Amino acid sequence: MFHGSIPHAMGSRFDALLFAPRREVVEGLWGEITALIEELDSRLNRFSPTSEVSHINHAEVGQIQPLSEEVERLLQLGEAYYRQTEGLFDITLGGFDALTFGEGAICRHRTEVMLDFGGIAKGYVLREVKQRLQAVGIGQAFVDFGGSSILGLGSHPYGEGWQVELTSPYDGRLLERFTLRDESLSTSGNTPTYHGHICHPKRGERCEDRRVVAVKSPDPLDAEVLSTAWMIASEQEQQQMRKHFGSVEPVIYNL
Amino acid sequence: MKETKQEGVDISLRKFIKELGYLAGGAAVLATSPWLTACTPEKLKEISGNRARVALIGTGSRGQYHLHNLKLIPHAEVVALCDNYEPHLKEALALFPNARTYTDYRKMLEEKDIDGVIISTPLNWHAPMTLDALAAGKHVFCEKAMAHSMEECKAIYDAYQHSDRALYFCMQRMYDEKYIRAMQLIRSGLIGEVTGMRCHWFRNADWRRPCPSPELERHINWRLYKESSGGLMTELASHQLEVCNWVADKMPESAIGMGDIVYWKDGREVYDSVNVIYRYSNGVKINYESLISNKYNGMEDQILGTKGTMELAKGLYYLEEDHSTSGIKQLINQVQEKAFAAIPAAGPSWRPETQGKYRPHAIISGEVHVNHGQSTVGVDKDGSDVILSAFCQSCITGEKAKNVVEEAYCSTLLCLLGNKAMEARELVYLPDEYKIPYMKF
Repeated sequence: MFHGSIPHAMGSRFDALLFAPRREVVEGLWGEITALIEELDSRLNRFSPTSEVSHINHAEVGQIQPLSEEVERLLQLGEAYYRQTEGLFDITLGGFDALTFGEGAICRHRTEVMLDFGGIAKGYVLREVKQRLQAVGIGQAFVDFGGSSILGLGSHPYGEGWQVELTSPYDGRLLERFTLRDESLSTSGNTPTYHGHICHPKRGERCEDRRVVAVKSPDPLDAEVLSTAWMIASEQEQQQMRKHFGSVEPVIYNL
Repeated sequence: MKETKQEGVDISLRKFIKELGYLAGGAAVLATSPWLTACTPEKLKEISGNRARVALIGTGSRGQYHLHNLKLIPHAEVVALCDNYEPHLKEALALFPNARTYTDYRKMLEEKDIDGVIISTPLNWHAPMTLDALAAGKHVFCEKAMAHSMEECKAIYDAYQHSDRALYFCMQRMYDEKYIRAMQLIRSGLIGEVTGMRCHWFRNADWRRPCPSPELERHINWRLYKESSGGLMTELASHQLEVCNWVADKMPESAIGMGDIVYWKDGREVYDSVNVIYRYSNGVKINYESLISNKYNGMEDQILGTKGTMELAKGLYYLEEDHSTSGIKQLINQVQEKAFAAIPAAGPSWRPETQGKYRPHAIISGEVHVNHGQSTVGVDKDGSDVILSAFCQSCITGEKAKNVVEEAYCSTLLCLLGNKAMEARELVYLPDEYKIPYMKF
């Protein structure tokens, strides 16, 4: 068993328990994972004035800025999810229509358009980690990014799958026990001390409800995106989104 | 210089940096601790089979501590020993019976088969010996603090600028993995904005060494007299003030403090109780305290941030709002105990911040070597062995270690500024003539 952890990345803690017969394979992979996370963290950190995202967000409207391959890839994913969620999941905080990007360049056309990858980065990392683990033949792992984005590959050495419990942030009672087997779980929600942080991009309303959403999916990125979108989606909007995400069924807990 | 036979244990420079690399990316390690670029695992591999021919000046307790470490460094060969105090020289010779012995270091510096010199002598000898050794074309490793006065520090700094030799001062925290890792975590924002630093070093001992005859008192107990020592500041605070500058990435502008001989009134001249406050230009302060008549508080370098606190000597940090999950720990315990159960991985990050106690988190995983500060010689695995190994590597490659001299210069000047503040009992500023381009204010 190899335990790797990064105490502070993308505002959270990252932990990975990896099981493989050859330690050097795991160590090499862990080096790759930390490099990936550090690279993304340094590019996407909105609070660092020198990050790529800060340069883009603070450039004059209409000014063309360079765009790295990694950030362009995330923007493409963000745009695809923007379409699939009918605009409910929006990493531009103002609409992709006011943004042009491609071939290593980006331009904002409205001041209020600001990039924020907070709702997608952890899911993206978990998706990448899952692919890299599988590429080197590691089929047994538990990866936890900040407690709210979790990946379970294969099974616990002494049980079936990986079991995680979701508890109410208001009174601590058990809401659900999930078993993850080659799946991930993403959770979003309000808490007594942290609420109103998810905003409906079209209506501008902040979700202040005592609500928690949990999404289990084979794709960590789908889970991440849907747990955010479901917090603010109306029933009609949920119906629309179901068309794009097949069997994935988010669970809402109104507390 | 080629040597095929290797004895002892590779004391882990390779493993040390490699493991740090796995923790959070090798490039990041070198960014926060650029001096490590001179001793990367790859470079160590390149010098495989070579040995640095080193000589030691000053064979007292700290010198012998270095000799014990040198025995474990495969790329080091101790060829000469020097001291004007025979009992110590004999003890050192017992450790390296094949080494030549000298009582005059200048004579020893004339020898052509010496690549590097390790200086472990009283503080007032650091400057003349370092300057002479550099002038003789030797690479130099000198104990901290850099020198006895600001003028001497500047003279060494200037000589180094014009020298192609490597120069190290034994600021071992710069090579201590828990400190290196902690710097990465601090830079990553783990403890938020650093708004204060508190360093202390407490012991309950008179700081005296047994003296066989009265005429040797100032020779043996040089730490207690102003002509040869800067007291608690140069002997202890120098390490801790370097850490503060490393964290702040700048240099304080001023200092104020009080020092007294409170308890050990035995004829000594240096304070046994010091309290100094250093102020950076942004208002952040270092609160420094050392007392050698009570050891309850031990030794610690504490970094205070808006989101957490680092206790670097213990290798721990504490968060103001602790979102870290205990789920992983439970899971690790389960696997070790061959048990299976659900873990609260998705829950605790949302718990309201009601915990009354701060939970300690380890800065590095695995065995942590904690220096409680009670040894007057040195402790195992505090970075002293690694920095010495790095020096021996530099003796072979000729590569200077980035920023080591500059960091030692800055921290020593702060020690001397603190002494000046305590003697004057007023706010003092760093004199302009001793400012160097490396200093950021």
